[in-house]
Amino acid sequence: MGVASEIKGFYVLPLEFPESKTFHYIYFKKHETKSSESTNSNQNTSLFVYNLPINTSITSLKKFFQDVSIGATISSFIPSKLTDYPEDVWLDLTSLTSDLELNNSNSEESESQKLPKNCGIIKFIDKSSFQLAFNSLKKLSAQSKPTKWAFETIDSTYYLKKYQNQILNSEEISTQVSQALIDFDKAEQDSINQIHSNLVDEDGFTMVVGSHRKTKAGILGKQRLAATVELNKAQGKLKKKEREDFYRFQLRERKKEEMNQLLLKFKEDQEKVRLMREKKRFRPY
Amino acid sequence: MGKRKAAQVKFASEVQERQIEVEDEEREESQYGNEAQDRRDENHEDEEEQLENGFDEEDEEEDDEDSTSGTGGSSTQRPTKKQKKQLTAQDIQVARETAELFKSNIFKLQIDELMKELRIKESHIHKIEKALHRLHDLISKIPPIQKLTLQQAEGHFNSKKVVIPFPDPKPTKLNYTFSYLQPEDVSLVGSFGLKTGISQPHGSTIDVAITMPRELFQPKDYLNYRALYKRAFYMAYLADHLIPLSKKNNLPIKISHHFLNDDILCPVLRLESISTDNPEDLTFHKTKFSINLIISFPFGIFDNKKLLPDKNCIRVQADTEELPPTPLYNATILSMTSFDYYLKYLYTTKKSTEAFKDACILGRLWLKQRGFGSSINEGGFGHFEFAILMSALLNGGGLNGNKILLHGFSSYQLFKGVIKYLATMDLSSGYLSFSSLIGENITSKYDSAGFNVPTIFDKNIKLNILWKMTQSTYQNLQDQAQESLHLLNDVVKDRFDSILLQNSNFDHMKYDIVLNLSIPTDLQDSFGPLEKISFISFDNFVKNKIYVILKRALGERITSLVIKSEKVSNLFPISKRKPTNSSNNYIIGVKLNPEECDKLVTRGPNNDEQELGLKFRAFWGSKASLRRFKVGTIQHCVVWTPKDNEPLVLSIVKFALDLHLHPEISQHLTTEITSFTDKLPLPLLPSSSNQVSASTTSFTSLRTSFENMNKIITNLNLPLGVKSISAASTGLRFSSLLQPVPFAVSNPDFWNDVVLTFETSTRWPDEISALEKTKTAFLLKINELLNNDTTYKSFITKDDSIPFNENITLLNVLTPEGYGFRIRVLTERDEVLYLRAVANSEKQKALMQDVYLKFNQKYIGAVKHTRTVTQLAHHFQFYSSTVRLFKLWLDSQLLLQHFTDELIELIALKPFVDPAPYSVPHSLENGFLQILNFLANWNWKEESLILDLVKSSVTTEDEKLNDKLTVQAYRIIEQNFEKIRSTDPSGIKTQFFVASKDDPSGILWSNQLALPISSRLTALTRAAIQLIKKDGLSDSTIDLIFTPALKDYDFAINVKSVNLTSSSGILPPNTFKNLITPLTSFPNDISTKYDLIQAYVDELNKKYGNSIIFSSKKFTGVGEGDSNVVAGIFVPMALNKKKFRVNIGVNSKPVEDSSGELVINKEAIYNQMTLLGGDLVQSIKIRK
Repeated sequence: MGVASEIKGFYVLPLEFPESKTFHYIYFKKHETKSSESTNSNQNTSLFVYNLPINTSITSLKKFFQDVSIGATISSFIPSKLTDYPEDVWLDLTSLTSDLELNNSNSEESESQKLPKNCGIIKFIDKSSFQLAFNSLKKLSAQSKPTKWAFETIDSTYYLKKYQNQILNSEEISTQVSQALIDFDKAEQDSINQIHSNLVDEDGFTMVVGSHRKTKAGILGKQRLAATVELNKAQGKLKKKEREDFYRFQLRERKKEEMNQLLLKFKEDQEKVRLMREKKRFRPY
Repeated sequence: MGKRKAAQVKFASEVQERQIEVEDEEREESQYGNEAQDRRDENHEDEEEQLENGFDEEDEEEDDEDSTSGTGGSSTQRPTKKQKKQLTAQDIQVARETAELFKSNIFKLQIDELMKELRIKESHIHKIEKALHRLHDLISKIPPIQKLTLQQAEGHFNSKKVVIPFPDPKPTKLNYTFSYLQPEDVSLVGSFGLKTGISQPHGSTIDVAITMPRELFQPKDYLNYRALYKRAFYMAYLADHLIPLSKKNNLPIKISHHFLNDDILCPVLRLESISTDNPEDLTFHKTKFSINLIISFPFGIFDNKKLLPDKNCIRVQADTEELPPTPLYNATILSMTSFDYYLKYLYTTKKSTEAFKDACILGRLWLKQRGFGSSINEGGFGHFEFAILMSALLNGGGLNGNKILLHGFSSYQLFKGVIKYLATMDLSSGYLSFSSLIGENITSKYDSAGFNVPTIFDKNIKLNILWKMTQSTYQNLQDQAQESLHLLNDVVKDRFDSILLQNSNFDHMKYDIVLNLSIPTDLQDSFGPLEKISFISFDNFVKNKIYVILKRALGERITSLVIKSEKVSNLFPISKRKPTNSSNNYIIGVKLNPEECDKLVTRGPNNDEQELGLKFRAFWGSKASLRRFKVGTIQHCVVWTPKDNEPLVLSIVKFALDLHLHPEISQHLTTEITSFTDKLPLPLLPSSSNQVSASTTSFTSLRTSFENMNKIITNLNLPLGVKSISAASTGLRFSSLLQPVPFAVSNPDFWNDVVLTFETSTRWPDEISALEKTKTAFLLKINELLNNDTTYKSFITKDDSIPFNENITLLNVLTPEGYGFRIRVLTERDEVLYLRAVANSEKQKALMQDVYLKFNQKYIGAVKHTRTVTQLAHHFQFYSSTVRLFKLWLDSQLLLQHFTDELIELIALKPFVDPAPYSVPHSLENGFLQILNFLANWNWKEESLILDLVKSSVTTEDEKLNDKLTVQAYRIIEQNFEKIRSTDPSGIKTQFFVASKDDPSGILWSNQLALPISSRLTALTRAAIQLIKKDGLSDSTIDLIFTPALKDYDFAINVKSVNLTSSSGILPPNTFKNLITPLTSFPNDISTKYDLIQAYVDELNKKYGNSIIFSSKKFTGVGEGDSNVVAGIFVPMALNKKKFRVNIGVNSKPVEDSSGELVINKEAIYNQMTLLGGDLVQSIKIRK
């Protein structure tokens, strides 16, 4: 029977790589978006592909489709943001730290964040183009015939470029930064206006908001304080000054307390040593 | 006849007799018992008085009543009534006692467990007693023989079987005769007789003293070996008859000669059981016991006064009028008369002091773990000496004869008391005198004016108990006692393990420098008759000579100097008079004084002190010179020039031994001390010719450059003032693998992280990416100012060290001095925002916590850590080079990149701040091996590493002045560890828990470590330590330790070698220093000099990091040929078959003949990894 050509609605397509006897397998199916966007034009024009080979880019895809189905033109490719990322899930720090409406990032960006590793969505310019590509891929899959993958060869300049790209152009970055800050200020201003109009706390009081307190989260303090040793120390300093050894009952109480403490510790220690004995800790050699 | 019978009775029923004695002493004992009780109460009262100082009388009395009636549990008004229902009165009593008599409950409980562990098996005792009884019967069957002349005596034995073990010089003509008569007494002596024996892995020996009858001796026999010759014949005759007798009586034994305690005047018979198939044979080899038959002299047979340590008892012809004293000979003779007597003395003490036995066992173990023993080569201080000292201290021992120990003390108190005495009283410059006279309680006294030899003098027998010790071994013992006393006083941490359980007898970790010296044979010539009578053996003579020379030469530079002969078994067959394979090899161990050891000038006396000046010149010879110092004094001195990587102390040792011991002796001196230093790469600096790889001057230059930049940036005109710029990089804390070299941009540590904070402002945006953007705006401003107005060059780079935060930018600054700094900005808003993200992260909390930890590491932790480590590196001179070597080793094993630098540095600090059971290392070799040793033995699943990062372990006792961890702080950290382990008992998520004052959480630096990596580190260190212990240190073992084991990986990718050596700031090996020009400027495009392999590994990690653990060298430019390798192992989880899901995340293929399952596609991964490497990859090797 060999390798199945279809798993759980995904078609399996073997790919051939240079200098390799074995194959890479990709799994694809029609990309189905949730109902909200159903009217949208990209309905039924995209392909969801899983287990893409490394360094898949829009150029390598274009080359590939030129080979397998001429005429299927790709309009865009959304790779998973996680493909080249050491983590398994994407966290959006912006939304975790602020509830400002800062969604200036486009939908592609957010979609890219949601995709699992090594997945991608290929969009074609129109429905016919998509059908063409989809059908020819399906055919190849049914034949289980390995197809050549156009891999862009890499050499050491690839890595040198990576290093060079780390250095940012200060002019570009400065325009980016100023634009981002303007956007942020705007979002903030909107939010403040909103807050000032209707901020009522649990007891029904309208809260007065200082000018530097900027977001709801900031005011309501959704933060958690890390407990530290310093904190305990500070509390320790606030000792009471009254005498604790004046009355006999105080002494007796203290003695009792001490005795109990001692016993408690003794029991604990016995337990600890018992555990150590079980682990054969007392072998001196 | 009657005497014989008595002897037999005594021996045969040793145990019963002891019981009778017990009955006899019952009354006495109970009296002692009461005393013990009294002492306890006394102590108790003392403490209570202290506790309740300031209360009125009435209360105090009542409290006393309470505490006494409490033991009976009869008091009804006591508030703990309810408690008592669950706990017996006995429990309370025990808990209370242990807290007072022992350091803490747990210490007492641990001691109890240890005692159980050390107990000798009853079955073994039973068996060996049976064997001893049979042996006794055999001895009584030996027929007497009388009045043999020397010739007759020698002819009596078949020389192929038995030889009389005459000591040197062998007698030739004698006017007295040899006889054998029934022994006056045969009895058990030593620890087995005292019942303080412990089970030992290599078995123990039981000492049996066979006392020669009085009639064989004449009063003058103590002179000129006479008694020893008679003894030798007696022993040979005994052995000769034991061989056939033992065969006939089913006691199969092998008899050999053995020098008791390495004393060549005292051969004894060693009996070992032979295993046979005959069931009737009485064999005891399984008990691992062997028996020493010690032929001894009757007690008091000689006039003990004649045998005082300052008397001469060996008359030889000499030119001098007065012969030198023969202390060793005298002590041997005296101790031969007193084996049995001392047992009785100790036995009496044991009877009067309940915990004496346990304390002896503790002492014995303590000594054993530190390599001390009664034999000369083990220092001459063993269990026997410990027990005698303890007995003496029970009768006094203070300056005015005040009692140091009391009979009612617990075993812990007794043990600690002796350790404290050893640590604080000098028995070498002063001495302790006591009397072993049984029955009379004669006070022991300490006298501060002594004989400059270690002395505990027994007035009764006139014997110096410490006669086998030398200045050197005594010094060593005192050091050990001081270290242990310090540990015993530690209230914060449980020190039981390092005091008693851990063996600390490995030379290379015990000493800073270990030298091997083989003595050329012609040195024997200097061992003349006079030397012979005072030192007895050539061994003692040489050791003393070396000690005297080196002590004089090194003076203040060292704190401890130990010389011992290489261990050879001193067992030899009874057909030999002495062992044939005596070793000429000596081991010299030196502990350095860090403040003095590297001083280039050895200062002598002032010019006007003529006599001393002459002596100085005589010692140093041509090296000595006169110098005028800045202060104006003119002094004799010796000036040393340091040689490449060779410690100065070593040069001095070589010079002094050549001059005074033997002209070519330094050729016979070997050490591995430089092999480790040579491993560290030499920096490519103009001054390289006289620079050593362990030097720290290059770090100081970096620091200066940092401070200059600091000033410039702080003075820039910015919208918000700069509050501080803090160092946070390895180079700035003296611990980067490579020394910082200007313009060496290929060095992976070239860029030094620094953290900049601005003046407080409330206007930072309350959202993380906008906050980062604002920071970038500030950095852009600084960038502009620096580039336009100063000689500094700078640019902005993207930073991805915090996951998911894509907007972080760093300002990279190149200073005119040639260093690089990378500035990141910290605001007071950052932490708040990250914590808020954690609180809001819901399902992804664990992941977000990791992000927060990353932030904490980079922005807060690194700064604190750098501050602490910088301070400690200043204080511990050898820390810097040790940690660098440790990093080098990790990198050679492809492990370095898996650890945060900070974690490595903390682990490397362990032997410096907490070296127990060893001491603070003062050499690279010692430090490095101690780190490996710690890691090899660290059971991180159960133990946390809590470091007290303060400068010195023995600082002032003043609580307010030192910033050591308090008990409370320590407890909090421990609780953190317990909490982590309660959820993760086998350490799958967190392996190394490394906490300090800076980081009580213990996981800041070890959070992202993977289990296979932690386990591998442990396995590798274990292998390394085992190798060193087995094969010793040599160039080849060291090379082996630094060679990676690639075959353990699933695959290894060989990558192209790129020449990065000189651009990393390393002086290429095997080149002439003067032909290499140091770097003087930055390349136009810095990134061209970066190591591309690192980018490749980075890329691999991004793509396959979830299924493969990649390992490669971080420092491509270090080592032979700039080669590197990328090795990897698959994560076991990733190899399993999985149901089809789109978020598996690994390159997969459908499983054949199955529907809906996927499995990892290894071949495709190998193929794509190779393609990804392009021309960087040369070959890939896959493990089958």
